Amino acid sequence: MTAPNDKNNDGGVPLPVVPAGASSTAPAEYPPASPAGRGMFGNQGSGDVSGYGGLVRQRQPIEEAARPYGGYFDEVRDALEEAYPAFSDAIEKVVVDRGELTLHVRPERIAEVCQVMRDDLALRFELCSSVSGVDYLGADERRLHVVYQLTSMTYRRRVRLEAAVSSKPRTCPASRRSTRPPTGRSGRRTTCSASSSTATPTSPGSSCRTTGRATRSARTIRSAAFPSSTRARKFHRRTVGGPTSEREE
Amino acid sequence: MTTSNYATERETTEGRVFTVTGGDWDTIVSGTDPINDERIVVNMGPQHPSTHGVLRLILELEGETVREARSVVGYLHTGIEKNLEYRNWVQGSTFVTRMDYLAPLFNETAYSLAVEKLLGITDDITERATTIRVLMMELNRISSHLVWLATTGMELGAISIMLYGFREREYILDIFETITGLRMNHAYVRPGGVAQDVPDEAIVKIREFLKMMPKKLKEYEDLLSGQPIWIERTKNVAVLDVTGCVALGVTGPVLRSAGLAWDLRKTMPYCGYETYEFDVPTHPDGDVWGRYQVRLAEIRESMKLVEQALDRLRPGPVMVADRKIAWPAQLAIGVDGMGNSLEHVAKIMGQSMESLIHHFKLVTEGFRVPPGQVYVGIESPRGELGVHAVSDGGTRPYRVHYREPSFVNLQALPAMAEGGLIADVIAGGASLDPVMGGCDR
Repeated sequence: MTAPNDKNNDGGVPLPVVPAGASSTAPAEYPPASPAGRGMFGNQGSGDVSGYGGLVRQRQPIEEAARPYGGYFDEVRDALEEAYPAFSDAIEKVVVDRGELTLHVRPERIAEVCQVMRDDLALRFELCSSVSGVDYLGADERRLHVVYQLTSMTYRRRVRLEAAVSSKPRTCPASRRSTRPPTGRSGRRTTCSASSSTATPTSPGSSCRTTGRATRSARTIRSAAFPSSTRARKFHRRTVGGPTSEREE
Repeated sequence: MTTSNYATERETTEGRVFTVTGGDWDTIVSGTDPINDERIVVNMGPQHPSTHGVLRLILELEGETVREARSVVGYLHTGIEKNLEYRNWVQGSTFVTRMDYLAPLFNETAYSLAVEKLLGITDDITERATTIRVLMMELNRISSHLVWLATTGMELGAISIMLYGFREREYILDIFETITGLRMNHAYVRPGGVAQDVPDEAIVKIREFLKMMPKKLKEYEDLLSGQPIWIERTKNVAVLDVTGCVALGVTGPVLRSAGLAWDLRKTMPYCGYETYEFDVPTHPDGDVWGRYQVRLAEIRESMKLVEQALDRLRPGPVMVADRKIAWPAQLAIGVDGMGNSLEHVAKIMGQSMESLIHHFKLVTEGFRVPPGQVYVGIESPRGELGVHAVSDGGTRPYRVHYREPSFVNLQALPAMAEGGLIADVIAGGASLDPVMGGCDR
């Protein structure tokens, strides 16, 4: 953390500096010391200066955090434990790193957890900010991680859910069947589709129509599928009509 | 026909589902019966002047009414996220700046904040560097909103505003050129700080801009706000309320135009925004008119922020002091443009072998980032711009994902367009302000 005063250092000469969070004054020790991270450039033994360390990437296991986590993380965990009876079965690991909370969720439970996270009054993670995938190649059998960034607009909190699956063809369940919000109405939602989002439990009727229709578009963006429903014309006459429909008639 | 990775055409309870991935247009439209059916399928884009770049929309029309609207994205995919994995962390700035080309400084700042969080040096970023970032981002927000105003005006038939919007944006690009050397694709905000200090000349220019801009904003409002055609084309068009926005993940001016004052600069502050004085404009209606009002008001708020940032600029370093992270070269203007300063070159070539090695290793190989993952979200002109960065402890990113507001917001287009007139598809789409460079990445 202690950096030399810039004024004393003329013209770019490197001075030994303790890197952020280092436990000793050795200039090249980053926390946590990993096999891939020893030395400033990870070079050991060989005279390799190509910069790629033999292209071998090693990974150390992710460590489970110990309670108390600090901040709002304990509250989130307690609230989820209370609202979701299958907590111990669904949550594989709780990781707190760099001020961010990550819940590792069993993939078959992800839709349920997402729904509880959205609907429970003490959690209220209304906005699914982002969904992305990370391939931890060579880590273990379940190397593909689906990462969900949830945002609670009510409490101004963020939580990351992570579901690990193997590379064999399978999917994370999208909450199609059971995501009807408590107020009823509105159609299917996919929590798993790319950057789509879950809805607030208190949807007023006028916009649920919007919500239901638009969720299909979320699917469309991903798969470029195009429903051209000739047979459903009458259905559309009755149900389609956004907030602007008065204008055209 | 070859097999593709996409879903195949199939019958569903709601009718036939087609896969539109290019190919024969006849097969797509054969789903509708032209004799007994007044519906027609219209392909709009990807080469269409009013779809904001290469956005492709497939519209099913009954007369002039849109019954179904589907967007097809990906025409501008350039694999930036994947490319990042093959360059070191500092080089990433050069890639991400090219994503959303109307808001390059936001892409860079979000990326830099993520890398700094991974390194654990967030608190070590110098005050001057942070202030310059705020200054640049807010200028960029103004220029981005000006392009929105210009292009949306043009798409709705107001040609003059297009000329004026681009004219004022040009002024901001001149400021950027003075500071970063480039009008676009700056790679100016780097992990650890910013690439160069702001020259005094630029401060004078920014002050001039701040003096000139209120008059111009008044001009825009005089041109548009009382204009019957503009009002007719925007009021009660493409309405999306707060519930719809949140359900679809829509953020930014579109969400604020529906009445929810959700702005990450206020709600989850970064870069010291909590110490600045500014308001978050909202509008109750959630229509295109509301988005126009919100964006104009945001330009005014950004000007306040720019002014405050200028007043706060105190002399000091613009790069983190840690020389294991900071770029070793002192950049300077030479006869052939920006480059390593001659003193620095003389030093590493003539006097200090260690400096040369250090420079070489840090530039060719880069610094190591401890393993882990972070998510950083900032408020870009279009909404929440998030970076999910994963490091495996190496000198290159293991995975970087951008949560692009353009991409997410485009989900809302069918919800806005269906049931309305085809002309309002343009207004609704434009009001989302999608930038396809960001959406497709």
